Amino acid sequence: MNENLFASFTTPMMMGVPIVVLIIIFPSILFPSPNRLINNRLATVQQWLIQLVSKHMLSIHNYKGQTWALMLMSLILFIGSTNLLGLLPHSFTPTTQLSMNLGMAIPLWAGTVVMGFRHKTKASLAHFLPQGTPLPLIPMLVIIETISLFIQPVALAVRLTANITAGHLLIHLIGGATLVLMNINPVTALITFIILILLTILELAVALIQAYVFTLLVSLYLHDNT
Amino acid sequence: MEVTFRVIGRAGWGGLSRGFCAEMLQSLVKNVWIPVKAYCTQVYQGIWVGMGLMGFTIYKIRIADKRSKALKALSLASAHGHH
Repeated sequence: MNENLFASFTTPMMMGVPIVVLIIIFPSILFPSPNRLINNRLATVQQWLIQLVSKHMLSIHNYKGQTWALMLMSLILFIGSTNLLGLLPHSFTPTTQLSMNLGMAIPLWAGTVVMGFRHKTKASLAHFLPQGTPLPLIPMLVIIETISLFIQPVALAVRLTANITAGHLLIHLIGGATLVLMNINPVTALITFIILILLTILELAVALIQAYVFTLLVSLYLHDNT
Repeated sequence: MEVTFRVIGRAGWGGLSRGFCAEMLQSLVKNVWIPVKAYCTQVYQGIWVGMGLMGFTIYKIRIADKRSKALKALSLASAHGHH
């Protein structure tokens, strides 16, 4: 049982060949980009959704920040679709791997910080000390703000990993409990099954919310630095 | 259909002749690289720096892991040797 619990998080292999790259690339074929003025229903719905999200997400940015529109939209689409596909039974979710999430968080965070230091050096350095700090507290607060800056990418990655992994583990556990209880006490199994359904609905929401939170935080770091 | 015949007609390397590779590269440059050139060269410069930093971190972690595994194997071998 213990081994089975974490088996879904190991590198997926097919006949000894790792197919992680294929799994990561797969969601892109679900988002066609036709060159027509009037598209089919799938493309129209996707374009409408992307327009809605991009309008809300980019409304706070200035000209420089809006050059990141492509990156932010790709990010939210990728994380959202990967998380949702991971809710299918027996599927592998790349966003449960800390390596992958760190690989997304560190370059994006570093991109915003480098952009901030290059174009607005004084303002970026001023972020290390909040306004109105009492004089004796300044050294400690600078240290705390530096630590909080360097913890941002780690927090981004760990937040996504922990949320998705925990959700998948819970579904696995409660599903297993439902199966076992069916032979022992069907009424309890029914209650556990209802809990499982509610949990799956929660996980659907968490999948989308985590994608949104990741992208929103990157967008906020960008806004601070542009 | 015509493309398939053309590819099979040219010999060597399973149909991937030099001309076909050049056509693929040209199409890739025209359809992929030209649209994203401005982004990759100007807007995402910080992201390349971040990727370098991440690569450096991964390199350091792998080197440390290799060293610790080698050390462990050495200590195990010396322990067996003593017995």
